[in-house]
Order: sequence, then structure tokens, then C-alpha cells
Amino acid sequence: MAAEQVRQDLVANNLANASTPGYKADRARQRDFSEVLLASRAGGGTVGLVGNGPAVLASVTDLTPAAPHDTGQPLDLAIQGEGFFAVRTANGVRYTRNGEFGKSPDGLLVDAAGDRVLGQDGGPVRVAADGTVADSAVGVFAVRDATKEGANHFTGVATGRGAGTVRTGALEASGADPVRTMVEMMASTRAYESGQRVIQTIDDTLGKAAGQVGSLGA
Amino acid sequence: MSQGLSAAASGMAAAQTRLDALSNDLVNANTTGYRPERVAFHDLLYGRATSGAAAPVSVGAGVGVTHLGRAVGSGPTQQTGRALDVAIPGDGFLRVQRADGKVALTRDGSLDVDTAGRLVTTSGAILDPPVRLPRGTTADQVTIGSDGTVRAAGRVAGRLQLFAVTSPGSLQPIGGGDYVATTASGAARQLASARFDTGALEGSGVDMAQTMVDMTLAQRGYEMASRAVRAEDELMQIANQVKR
Repeated sequence: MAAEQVRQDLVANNLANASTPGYKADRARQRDFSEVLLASRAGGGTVGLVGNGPAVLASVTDLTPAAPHDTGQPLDLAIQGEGFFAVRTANGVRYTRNGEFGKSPDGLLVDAAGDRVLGQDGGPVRVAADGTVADSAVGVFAVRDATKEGANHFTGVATGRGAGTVRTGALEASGADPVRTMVEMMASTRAYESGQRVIQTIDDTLGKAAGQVGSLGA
Repeated sequence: MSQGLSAAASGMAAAQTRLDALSNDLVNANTTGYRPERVAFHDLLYGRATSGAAAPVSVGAGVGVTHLGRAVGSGPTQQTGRALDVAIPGDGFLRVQRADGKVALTRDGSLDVDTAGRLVTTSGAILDPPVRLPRGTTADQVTIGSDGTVRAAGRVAGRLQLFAVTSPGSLQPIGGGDYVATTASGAARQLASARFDTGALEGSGVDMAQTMVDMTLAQRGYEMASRAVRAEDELMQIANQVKR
């Protein structure tokens, strides 16, 4: 049941971010706890393996690119294909797939938090007087070990140029597929329920052992 | 309390904010010079779940909302044939002195003459720098040239000036189609040359069809987040039934 609770929390976060541009969905990878070998106390022979129930091994972020949709805003950028935008935050360089950018008072390309977006050479990107940027001016980076940090940011190690290309006037859709997420939510609820049933059944068995064994016929 | 419950609730709140912004856009679908609101979503911090996990698993706390300001780009130009209507091609603004003393920028070029003979906008704000017409001038004697020169009965009475900011999307709307400059937008500066489309007004920047589609999406987003709340509730209910 505890594992399904974690999975449900991941699903809830995915659903909440179903409209967040450039969001990447988390999936739970489950496995069973290590099994134990039971031996018969009476005869000493082995009975067999018994599992200890499932555990969430890790949450895996699905980095598959989602389809861009047109917004018509000149400073909305999407990456078609693999790669990340880089922004210089107070905590260092962070990577993002959300290209909802704007123009700073000094004419540079900034993200929603006002942090500068970086070009391929690591320098800031200047917005032209007509309020547009050239696709090629904005850096696309391949990032190793991309890990989510919140605020659409990923940490990781940049390893040169990403394969994707920049498209202006569009945003990448959220990677949380509503249908898949809803199905996962239902499946998880039912698995949680069956976990509860197992606890009840074991409780019944123990109850019988404690209350009925040894009592003389009714 | 499970983190998923608050994450799902944040999804509902975010969809609600987006719906509010879209409703405001929709009611302003005919407002001169209106620019649609931009609402940005971002995921929140990731925490560590330890119970039920073989190793700590990072679980997100939901979604947050930021107001990005207004969309940029002009709405469609509509011909009105009225001599005192001006539309502004490009990113310029008229500067006005409002009744509450604030100096604001506006793209609403539907001008009028007040009782003191000054040019005012529909909200009653006086143009800054002011354009004063000679005493006794009526509105039908006024013409405005494409360079902004205002003539009253053939004589030059003043000139409309245009102002611009570096980042027009970050201007702060204060109602009545007026905006004030912020640190994010940069200070307003006067443009050397001004050009106007006279006898025309800038329509609203709201695309009705797109706004309706976005509204449907926001509504569905709200619905899905509410289902996630229900699912989390169901889990707690099931957990409660362990002890009968």
C-alpha cells in the first residue's frame, strides 16, 4: 500500500502539471522487496520463496519530447527534438524545456523568473528591436543526468549541442499524457485496495488462529 | 497528509487562475487596444518520499502560476472613419495624465475633446504632452495627420507624441486600457518619429476561437486535477477501512 501511495503522488503531480509547457512526466518503477526463503519448522524442509510486497524503486522522468503547439507569441520558444534551453539562475546554470520567455529592460531574452537565457556560447541572447529572436541565437544543449528541480528547471551536465532545433512562436506541450495518467491513477487505486484486502485477509486468518483454534466445538 | 493531495489541489488552483485570465480576455474581446493576459505554469519543488520506496524517490509538489504580463503584437486595425480615432502601428503608446494623477501609457486611440478644449482618451485621461485646441473648437473641426499633427479648423494646434518601453509585455495594467511602466518593462522613452493610422482604431488582441479552445483545455485540466484529489481521497478511505 505504501508503494501505491508514492505512485499515486507521482500521478497527482503529473496531472497537476498537465498544462505546464515543457513538463516531463514522472513514472514509478516498482519492484518487489527481496524475497525470503521459508523453511518448515517441523520438518526442516524448504517451503519456498515468499515476497515482502512491492516498493517503488525509483521515479523515472520520461524525457521524450512532446509536440509543440503554436502560440503566435514571438518570444515563446520550443525545441523540436532532444535538448534543453539553458538559463543562468542565482544557483548556477539550469536547463529547461519550457521556452516561455520574455524581454528584460536591458533587451535580453529572459525566462518567467527574469533569469537570462543562454546562447550556445554561454553568453546572453539579445532580443532584436522588433521583439523577436533568431532561432539560431538561442542555445540548445544536450544534458546528461537531467534531474528535475522544480520551476521547470533541470540540473545536469551539459555535453555540447543538443540535436533539437528551436522553433519560435510555439511552446512544447506538457509531457503528462492525460489518458495514460488517468489509467495509471485508476490502476494504482485498485492495487492499493487489493493491498488493503490482503491485510484484512491476514487479519482474519490471525483472528481465527487466536480465537477459534483450541476452542471446543460449537 | 499525502503530498499528492496538495499537488492535485495546486493543479485545480492553477487551472482556476488560467480560467480567470481567459474570462477576462473573453469579456475584452471588443475592447480597443486590449492585449491578452499571459499566464505561465511551472512545476514546484521536488521532495523525497521514503516510505514505500526502496530508495528515496523524488515526488513533485504540484504546479505554480506566474503572471507573465500581456501578449505583445497589435490587434487588427478597424476603420471607423471618425477623425479623432488613431490606431498606432508598431509598439508605440500614447502617454496620458490620468484623473488620479498617474502618468500612464495607452494604445486606446479613441480621442475626444474635453470642456477645456484638451484632447482626452475615452477614460477621460488627458494626453501628455497635452494638445490644447483654440477656444470654441468643436470635435468635427479637428483633423489628425498620419505624423500626429493635430489641426483645428486648418491651423496646427499640437502634435501627438509616441512613447515606447523595452519590454511592452511587462507593463502593468491599471484599468481603463492604461498601463504603467515597471522595472521589468523599462522606463518609457519618447520615439523620435511617430506614425498613426487615422480614422481607425486598434481592435482587441483577443482571438475568440483560440480563447474558447484554451478555456475548454483549462476546464478539462481543472476536472482532471479534481479527479486526482478524489483518487487521493479514495486511498485514504481505503486505508481507513483496514481496521473494521
